[in-house]
Amino acid sequence: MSWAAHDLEPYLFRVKLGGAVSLPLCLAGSYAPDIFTKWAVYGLGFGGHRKIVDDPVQLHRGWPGVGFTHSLLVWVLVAGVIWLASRNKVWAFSFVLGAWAHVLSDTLDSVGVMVFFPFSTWHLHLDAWQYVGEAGRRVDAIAYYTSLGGVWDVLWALWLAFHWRMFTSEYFHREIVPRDTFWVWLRTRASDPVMLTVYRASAFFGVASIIGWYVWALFINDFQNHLDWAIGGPEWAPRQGPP
Amino acid sequence: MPRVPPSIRDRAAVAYWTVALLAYALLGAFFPPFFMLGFWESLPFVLLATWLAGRLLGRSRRDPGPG
Repeated sequence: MSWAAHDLEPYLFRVKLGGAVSLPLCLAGSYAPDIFTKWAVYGLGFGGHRKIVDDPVQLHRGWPGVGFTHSLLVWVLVAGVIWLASRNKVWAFSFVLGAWAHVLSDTLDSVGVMVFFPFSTWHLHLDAWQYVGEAGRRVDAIAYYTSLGGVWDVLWALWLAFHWRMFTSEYFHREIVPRDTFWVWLRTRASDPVMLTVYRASAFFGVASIIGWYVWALFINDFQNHLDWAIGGPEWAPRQGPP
Repeated sequence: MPRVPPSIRDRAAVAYWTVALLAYALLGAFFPPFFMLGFWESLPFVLLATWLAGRLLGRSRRDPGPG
């Protein structure tokens, strides 16, 4: 799985593709594959010591399970519903773009995703880092940010840093609001600081959480607090392939 | 958008948001369950920082505002 990459990818799509992308819908798509399952994968509590399901990997990425949320076709169908309801092609395209980015980012771990479901339950997994979600959020955070997963997040944050001007209120008012009916709608219901908060929050959280998790994993946490950038790392993590 | 040289106000804004980012990151590092589980946990902080930025820095002269 990927962490902050899911928060940051939609901003790069918006800055590269311009008005063809609605940022709120792209963010919604980027969050959608995990939104109903991540809490169950990790279990209750930060340490994940209270399990909710017996086989979190099967639930999250498998079939039977809700692994279909990490396939390509399901989000095309959802985007079709969005288009039928809104008649807004930009919204539908943005949603599917965000969701596909999430799905394809998650191919980088050792469990991977059923990209071609329902035609196949085969998992595309590139094994750049281990999937450690079944061990709970705390251990997963350590594994992810000490492995190449953290590097993946940092790359997205660095790329976004080159486009810092997109977070100015000038850019927001001049380039973002007039080109997306979502913001025109929200403008009649919310103050300017609230609109800017909605616009910036995911990127702010994404970048801050990368720094925060690195500091926590390497200097505050006392379990396996060292970097391991081997392919398929970290070495100490239990090997976990597709369910 | 045409590039113009950054003003003092622009530089102050970059410094302000860098400090805000690092402050949130440190809060997250010391209290992960309260700040690092999802972007929704950052909403109050970002709203406060956005409101405060408006008070401290004002609006850029190039910013057309909410209109």
